[in-house]
Amino acid sequence: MSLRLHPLFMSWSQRLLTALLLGVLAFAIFGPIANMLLWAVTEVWYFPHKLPLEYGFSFWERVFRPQGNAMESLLNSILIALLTVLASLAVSIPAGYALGKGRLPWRSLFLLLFCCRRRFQPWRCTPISRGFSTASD
Amino acid sequence: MQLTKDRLQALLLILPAIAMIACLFLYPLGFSLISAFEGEAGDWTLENFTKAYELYSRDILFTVLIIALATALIAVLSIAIGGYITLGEHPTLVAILRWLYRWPLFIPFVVAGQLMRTFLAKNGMMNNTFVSLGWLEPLQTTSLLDWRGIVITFVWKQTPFVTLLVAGAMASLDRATIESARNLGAGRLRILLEIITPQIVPTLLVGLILSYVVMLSVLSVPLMINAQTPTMMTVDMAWRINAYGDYGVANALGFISYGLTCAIAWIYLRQGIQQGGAPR
Repeated sequence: MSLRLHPLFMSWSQRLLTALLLGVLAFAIFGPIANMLLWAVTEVWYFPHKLPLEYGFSFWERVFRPQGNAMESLLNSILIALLTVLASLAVSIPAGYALGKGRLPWRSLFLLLFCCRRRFQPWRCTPISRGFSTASD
Repeated sequence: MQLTKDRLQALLLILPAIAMIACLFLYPLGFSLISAFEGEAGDWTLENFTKAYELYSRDILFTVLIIALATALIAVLSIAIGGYITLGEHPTLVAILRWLYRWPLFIPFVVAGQLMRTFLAKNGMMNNTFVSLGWLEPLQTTSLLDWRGIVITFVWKQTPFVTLLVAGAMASLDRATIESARNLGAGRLRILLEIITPQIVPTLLVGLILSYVVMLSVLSVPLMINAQTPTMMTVDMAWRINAYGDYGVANALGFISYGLTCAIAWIYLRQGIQQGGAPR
């Protein structure tokens, strides 16, 4: 190991081991995602079959059928996310300018206040900000 | 005169942000902290805490253990991945790894929980693959949907974030020390553990602390993967509120959760002071 070899001369066993580890990592990362993608287009899938028996879009039909309110929820999610980004930009750009460029009194105090908030997630402030906690939490 | 005007202007610019923090963060925070000590009759009491301890002391311990284990695993994996990206000698393999590890970064916790619920189940894709490869007999498969599932989901979701920070810090290190260690005959593992890792500890700590806080506050993952006893504190808090309308005990649990965060936040702040500036 102490000899540094040119990449081209990297031993086959070493290359194989690295490729194997990368394969395991790829399975760990893409396995769950592939699993979800498969289930999304599955019609029939039961034990002990390794792959779905029939494929189709019936789940999609169920989600997007008029009496399901998935479309509405989806639009609401996008709307809320966009508005949140806009509102936080509107508030944080002036604040960032004042903190960075302006002659702000008690600058470090304000900075501390802003930093504080990142450490406590909104979910923790149960009663009131429950509605404000982010969807990904 | 000009100076006062400038200062006033700066204050006006920062005012909306301060108002927002006061209304949406400081006020609810204070409110929930105070109501953790409030009894049903509105008197001051520690009743909520004794109740929280009696009912949920196992869950509190469980939460701490799960998050500690997940944080440790994230640290090991992010150093390993970052280390290979920095020291790897085969450009193609490094490029593949660099492309590969970031994927879970863009998947929200609730979706990660959903993915893992089917992937890690007894007859899920993971066990199916192991059976197909002949590593396991169909009768040997077990469901991982308990504490292990929660740890796996947290590690899966948070490792890319910490690795991103760690790999960035490793890339900006001075290559000369690495090269000289190499010339003196140090192996790659030794270079990673004895030369690179000590230099990126501050960045690693920041990444780990941020993930710790995020993991402590995630509700969806324990709810989807393991909501039986023992489970995590966030599930208990949601349960107290949704099933009993009992904000007192929920807030007491929240208070304990603040305590766990504050202990870590203190390390974070001290780190910042040692570096001679505000924490990044």
